[in-house]
Amino acid sequence: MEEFIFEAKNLTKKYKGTMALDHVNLTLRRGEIYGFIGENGAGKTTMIRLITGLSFPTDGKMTLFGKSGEKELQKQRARIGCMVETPALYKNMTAQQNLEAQRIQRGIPDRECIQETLKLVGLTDTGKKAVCHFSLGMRQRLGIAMALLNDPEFLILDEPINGLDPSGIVEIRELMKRLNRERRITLLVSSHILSELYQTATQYILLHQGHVLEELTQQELDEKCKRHIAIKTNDAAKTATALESALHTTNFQVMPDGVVRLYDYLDHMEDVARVLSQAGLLVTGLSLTGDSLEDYFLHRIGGE
Amino acid sequence: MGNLLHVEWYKLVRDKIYWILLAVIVLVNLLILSGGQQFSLSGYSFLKTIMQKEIITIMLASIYGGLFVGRDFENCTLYHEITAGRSRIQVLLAKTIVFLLALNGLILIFPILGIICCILKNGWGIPFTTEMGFYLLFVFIALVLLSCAIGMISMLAAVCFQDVGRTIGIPIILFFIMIMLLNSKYAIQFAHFLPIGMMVLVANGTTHPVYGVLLGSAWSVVLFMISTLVFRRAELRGGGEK
Repeated sequence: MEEFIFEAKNLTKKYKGTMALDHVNLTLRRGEIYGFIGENGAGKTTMIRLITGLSFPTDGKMTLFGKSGEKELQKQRARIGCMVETPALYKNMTAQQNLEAQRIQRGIPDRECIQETLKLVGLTDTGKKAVCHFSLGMRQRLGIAMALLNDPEFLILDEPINGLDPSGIVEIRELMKRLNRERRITLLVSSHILSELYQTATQYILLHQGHVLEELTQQELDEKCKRHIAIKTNDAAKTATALESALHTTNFQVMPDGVVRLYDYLDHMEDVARVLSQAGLLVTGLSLTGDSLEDYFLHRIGGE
Repeated sequence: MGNLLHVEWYKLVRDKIYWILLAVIVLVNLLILSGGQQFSLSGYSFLKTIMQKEIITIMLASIYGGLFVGRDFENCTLYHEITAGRSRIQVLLAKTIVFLLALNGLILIFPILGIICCILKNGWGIPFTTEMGFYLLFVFIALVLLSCAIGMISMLAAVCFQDVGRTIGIPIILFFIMIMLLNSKYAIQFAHFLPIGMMVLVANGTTHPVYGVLLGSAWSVVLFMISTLVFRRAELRGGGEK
């Protein structure tokens, strides 16, 4: 089984005068949940449209399940399930008929999968109600069901929790996690609700103005966003020694810019200040800090 | 390809608008013809005159054509097939085949029912020979192909504009232009090149149905090829409307 689900090499997409994706290099590993983050126009949907075949790259190369070339990519897309932008549904049909159309089109022989999928997304009681009478949340669930029907190896969901109520958000989040855990489905989830994405994703891809700004794991993000006391002194090495000897802690990190991040004594900043002062250090900055994913993202795009 | 045809058929059969429109077309035609002597004609005479009276039917069918194809683009439901790894040409071909069958159903339902009705009531009218049978077969094929040519205008509009409004609007505008041309000084000349005109000429026996077959095929093939060229590399939007 291929380790990499998707690879992009110098992937570029240009629309009349606008560079939607600019030489993007990206690798998606099997079994992860990727959170796709970027402001409007960052290139998230363009990337998804390229992967799903709704659009064509201007330049660069894509590989899906280890295969590249237009014909092969087309073939491999049968292993993908997706919901791009908003759910594409047959509005005059019921939920069941929508899934039946998808089943026929995908050539899935087993009719049972329709009820199973409806159950999975919590839409078993819609009966003969046509989709045009569905709420936004119900449509969203049905869109996800359409994407799941073929039991995909790679599931792409663009804004999957749009329009869902709080309990619906929790259900869909748990569903995504369960699919990843139990069926080992790789997910690429784009969302503007970063606090929600933070609870689902295991990897993050930050897109900004058509570039991949950063790729980081949940651990790396936690590390970067962890609440800490940021200490800026005239001597980082001496600061570290003082913390070790006087406060008996090694739970700190010296950053490349000389700032020492102390993860202990968060509620005892005055003790920290006293120790540093006693060690004869000139303290130029001492603050309690820590980012949410949202803060981190804003900080990153603001820093560009 | 089989699955694609099957799913398009599934969608058509479950489209209430189609069945309502089919009933409306029959009713409207019955109303229009109820005042005249159309149903006292023989089957053969009915065939010769009916296509001139089918202009409204063709227009209604064109509107439905725009809905059937345009809706799939506007709601992005056609893209399920592309994101599932189907060839764009096959997707378009399956859609076109079922769409043209539906369109022919709408255009030809009343003439067929009317002919059957007149035959049952008044007989065929002239001696029915094998030659006549072949002639009628050609007339039928020509009318089907000419209907396809009319339908392909909607298909091309749908592929180019990817919405319902213009997919309905553009063919209707073209339709009215064709009607105007067919009422102009050079009506006969135009009728030999325009599918609607040729339909009348074939049905009333002015032109041999082979010309209708040729003209219908040529229009259909050319319009399908242009649609394919456009669709093959078209940038498609993502999901449906919110």
